[in-house]
Amino acid sequence: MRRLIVCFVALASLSCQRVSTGQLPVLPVGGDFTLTDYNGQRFELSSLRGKAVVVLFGYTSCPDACPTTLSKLSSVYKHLGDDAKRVKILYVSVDPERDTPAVLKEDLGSFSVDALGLTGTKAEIDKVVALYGAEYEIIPTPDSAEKYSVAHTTTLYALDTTGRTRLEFPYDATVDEIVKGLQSILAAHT
Amino acid sequence: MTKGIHVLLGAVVLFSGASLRAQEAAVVAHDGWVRVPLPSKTETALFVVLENHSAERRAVVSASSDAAQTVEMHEMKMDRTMMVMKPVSEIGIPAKGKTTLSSNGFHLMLFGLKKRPVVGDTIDVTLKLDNGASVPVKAEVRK
Repeated sequence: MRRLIVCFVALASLSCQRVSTGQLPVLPVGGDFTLTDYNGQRFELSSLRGKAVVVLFGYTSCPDACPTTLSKLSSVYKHLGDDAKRVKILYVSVDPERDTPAVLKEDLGSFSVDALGLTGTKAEIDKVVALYGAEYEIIPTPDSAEKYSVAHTTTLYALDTTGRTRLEFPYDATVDEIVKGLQSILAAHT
Repeated sequence: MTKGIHVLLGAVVLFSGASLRAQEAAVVAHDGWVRVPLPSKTETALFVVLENHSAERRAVVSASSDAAQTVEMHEMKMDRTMMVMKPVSEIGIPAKGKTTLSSNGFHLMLFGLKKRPVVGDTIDVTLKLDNGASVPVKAEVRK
């Protein structure tokens, strides 16, 4: 609830005017982490300094929430125009068993967005999930063809160009709200 | 006497046929669509609006399609910030009402797609109701 209130207040301020990140709170979640990217290379969040970053958790077998969010982020990219070059999406898989780097690369490539798929060992992923205050749960579905589904946090975490989490967008955040939020983060570094 | 029995049987057959057609028409499906599957996947979700024109609650109890090996009924629900998806045994449609299968709610999952659908294709699915009636669904493949 606290996080929702923080987000609501932040979004309310964004709706009035374009603000600098100095006016956005630094949220008490997030931080640097290391995982494996969809090219099989080790990835460190700190390598993206100078870019705004959106972190989300999901899995490619997700039937609707993840594709809906990625489609929404594709629209965000279009609306950002040239600013899109300064925004990176990090898609952290919470299903390392099925989401190999190759699967992540193939599936994320179907969205018009600069999204890097990340995976790792369960321990590595759990560490990042905890760092961002996110959650996920493997739900066995033995009678289903999918065998298990993965419940997961759908929040988007927007980081400033120094890697600090400045905004959280709930699942139903609009394209306009996300665009304004990212513009406000980038504004402090133009 | 024999002629009378034939007339009676004919009437029963006609009545049964009319009754079944009435049941089938009682629930109709429209605005069906499926999301084009991701490149590595052979499954996708189907969304549709189901309208029940009858005075009795109905429920979808199973679904099938020649386009997929299995069709399952699932539900997605937000639990705090988590999206949770689970199979369900039925999808109810209120009397004189409708149930919309959409994001953040009930949907059908098509597993084991036999052919990769592309945007603009149509996938046919048949819903089976709790009263035995069938409801045809046409779903457009969209991005």
